[in-house]
Amino acid sequence: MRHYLTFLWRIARLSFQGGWRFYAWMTLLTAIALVGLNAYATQLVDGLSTTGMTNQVSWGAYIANFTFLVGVAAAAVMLVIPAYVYKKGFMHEVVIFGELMAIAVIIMCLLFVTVDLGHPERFHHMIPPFGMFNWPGSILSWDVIVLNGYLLLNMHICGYLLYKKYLGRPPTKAFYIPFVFIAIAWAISIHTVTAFLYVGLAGRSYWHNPIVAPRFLASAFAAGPALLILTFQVIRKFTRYWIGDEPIFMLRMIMTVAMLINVFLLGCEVFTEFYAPTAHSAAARYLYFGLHGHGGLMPWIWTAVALDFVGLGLLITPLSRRISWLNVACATCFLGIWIEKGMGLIIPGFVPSPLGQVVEYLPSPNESLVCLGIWAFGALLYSWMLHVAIPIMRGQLRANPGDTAPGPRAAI
Amino acid sequence: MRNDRRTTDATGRSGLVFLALIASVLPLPGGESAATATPALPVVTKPTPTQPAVGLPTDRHLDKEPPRATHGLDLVKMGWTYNCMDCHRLLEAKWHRDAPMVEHQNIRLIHGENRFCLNCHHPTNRNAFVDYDGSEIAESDVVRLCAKCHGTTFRDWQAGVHGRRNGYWDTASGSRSQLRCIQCHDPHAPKFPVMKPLAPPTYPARAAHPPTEGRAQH
Amino acid sequence: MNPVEPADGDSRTVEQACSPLTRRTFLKGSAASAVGLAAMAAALRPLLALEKENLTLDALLQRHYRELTPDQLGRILDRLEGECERTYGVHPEIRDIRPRDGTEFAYALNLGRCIGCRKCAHACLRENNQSRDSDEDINMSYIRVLELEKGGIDLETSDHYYDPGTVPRPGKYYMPVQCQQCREAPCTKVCPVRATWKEPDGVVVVDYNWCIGCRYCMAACPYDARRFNYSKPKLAAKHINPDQGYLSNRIRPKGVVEKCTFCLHRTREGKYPACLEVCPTGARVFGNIRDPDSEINYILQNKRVYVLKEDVGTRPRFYYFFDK
Repeated sequence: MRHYLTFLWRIARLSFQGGWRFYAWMTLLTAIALVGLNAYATQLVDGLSTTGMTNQVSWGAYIANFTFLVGVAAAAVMLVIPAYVYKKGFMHEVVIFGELMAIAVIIMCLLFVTVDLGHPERFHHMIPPFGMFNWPGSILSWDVIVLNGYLLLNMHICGYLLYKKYLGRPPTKAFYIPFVFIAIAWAISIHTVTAFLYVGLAGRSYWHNPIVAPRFLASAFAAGPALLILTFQVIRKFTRYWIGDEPIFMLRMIMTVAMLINVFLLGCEVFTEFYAPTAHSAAARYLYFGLHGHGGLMPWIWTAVALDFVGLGLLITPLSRRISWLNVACATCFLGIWIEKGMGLIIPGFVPSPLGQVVEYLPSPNESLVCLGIWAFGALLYSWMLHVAIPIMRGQLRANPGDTAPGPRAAI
Repeated sequence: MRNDRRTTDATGRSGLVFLALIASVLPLPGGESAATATPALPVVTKPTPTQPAVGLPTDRHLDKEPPRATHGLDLVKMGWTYNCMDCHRLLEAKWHRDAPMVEHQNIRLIHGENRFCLNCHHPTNRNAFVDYDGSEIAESDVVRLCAKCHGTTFRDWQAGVHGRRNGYWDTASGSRSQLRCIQCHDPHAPKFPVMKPLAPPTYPARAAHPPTEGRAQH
Repeated sequence: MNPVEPADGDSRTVEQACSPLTRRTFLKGSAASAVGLAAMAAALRPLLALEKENLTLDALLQRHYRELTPDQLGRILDRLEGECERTYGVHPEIRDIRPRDGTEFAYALNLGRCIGCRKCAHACLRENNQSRDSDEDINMSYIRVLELEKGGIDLETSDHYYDPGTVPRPGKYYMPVQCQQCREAPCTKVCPVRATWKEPDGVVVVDYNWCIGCRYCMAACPYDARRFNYSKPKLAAKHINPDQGYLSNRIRPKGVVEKCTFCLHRTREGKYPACLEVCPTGARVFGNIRDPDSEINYILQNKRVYVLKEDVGTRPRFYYFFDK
């Protein structure tokens, strides 16, 4: 226990120590997060009328970002599966970064849901026994369970492994290996359940479509690794933690396959909607070509399509074997999927409305600031976790400094 | 909506002439002498309406006014009575509507095949309607008159699904009123008239890209 | 390709590698903390404008409607009446009206008769205390009247904003849509906190003091029947209907979802709903479906009715039919 408290204290101290780059980066993120908090305070006072949402488009940027980020969090399994199922030793160097990212991103997800609530102070209505939890009826209650469960699983795995590393002792398999395998299934479940949030609504034909869940997973397993690859580049550039090329190229391969499946499923959807259009194709028509003179989503979706195809083009050609081009591919895929799954999936579900109204949506400035604030807060959280975890992994933060530092390849 | 409005100066003036004319030959009901007819007109109290009140007095915030509002006959406004026979005692009953001098000028009979006055109005008692067998139907029983032809509609009306009921659906809890045929339909032109719609909803103020040209199409 | 060499063998601890905790770093840290706290306070400044008056512990700890004892509910009704009077200047009578035994409501609407005058949509506001900017503002009305092209029932080409000199327009017909009080209501199924549910008489209601405002029910509704209070309801004293029900037309707080309740504060007392009371063409028929002699049963047995969007499996209690 005393060891653990010392561990926490040293982490707390380390959190405030670093080079000028670290301070500048963290200050910048804190400032943006505070701007977001300020915008949220305004929203709390004035209500959600500070957003661009309406009775017709009742979910917007918050839920869009939430949906996208659940996928990114789930994508941590794309490091875990090669490491623990296929026993790729080199993946063990980086698997912890995926799990830490999952923690940060799940917290962002929960924040995005919270800021979307009209009455966040009644959040305890969801928690039994204070509340009246509608389980198993409501998919949203499933989502609350799986997201929090995933958060706890990853916090346990990361916390346990890092602490053992700090103590310089090998982790006991029974304490984490079962959780790792549960977390693999759980990661698939968080994104599937999130897809079912939409698929389960028969009244919204754009979402009431079994392909949504597989497409969610495919796009998540492209966007998540894209972000991980970019993170690894940052770690390689700015820290002395050693990450080889193997994990990066393993992720590149995963991304390529996921992106191919994603684009294939997109093609399946486009074929169904446009080859034999029904009354239910109105949302897709609105998204891609506009409806009744309204085409607010067209710039978004065509940008996403372009980014997706540029990314895919780079991934399937040898070009992306060069790290610089791979980075470009990651950035375009990440951005493309963010648009496609956010504005491209959530908004057309509401346009046209079930009674045929075309009411367009764009996030309001205040709403955008809240989103930006949450992204900054997530980045802040992840940066902090990396800042603390890397010295532990490198053996710079350990219980007994006298011991020989174990190499990063050892354990975990 | 107000389809029985009949207030032009011309009819008003000709009404006066007519009044003066027949006042000299007829004793007016109520013992009023012809000399008092002009210029000071007697105050006429309207007879109690034969149609019941609509809805509950507590629902003042709801506009339950029946669609058709009649404004009475010009002659009545001039001080005449609601006794149709005051005039029609003199005027012979006609099957066809001809061009009347004064009253009923605005009546256009657009009621399909039902094109004779005496199909509905009683030939000898114009205060009443006429049944198949020539017997009288009181004005307050107008539904029975319409039912002569509109049997299925009458059946629906009896069941409460044609026309409108107001007040209590549960008659054990309170009273219920039901509109009768001529509170909504002008019997001479029963097709529902067009009306001005109330204000529409607006394109949501917060929504992006409000339609630019005039009002929203969709 | 890896720009950084493997770092094995760097055995310095972070404390050694980083600057030690000296007086100077401590002062710098303190200054940074002060700046941080000030920034935090500045960020939260808008919260000063928060209306704390109605944000009481009682309100925060209030239980779900269905768990309340008559005693608790009585106190809550008193509190809500007080809040309404303080905020809107009108003392309402808020009642808790329970469903009647042997009663199940249903509604039928004769599209052959409806002329699209929107009197129902406006009466809904007069009755149900929805927020409005002006007398004419019916955006929060529970009823939307759709103008459709004759020759089909294509909602996607419907016009909600039609405003010609007179209705009905040639070549068009009109379809008012409101909550269909579905037997298989998707909205109640998805609510994560059971803040909306189906009552024994078939009316789908919302506990406005339990709703967390996630708007999942709005996404689930195939009929666009739910409205959200994006800001605090705006309502002039002269527009307030003081006859209010806890589950129906009491003035809603900000940030909750509301919907048509078939005017349950009226209908559970045996009265007709407001939209029916004003319909100039008698297109609306309402009644107790469990009473074999009711108007609504007459419709279901003698007219050819249909329900809107039967394909989504909601089994509405709201029927449409075409009749002269």
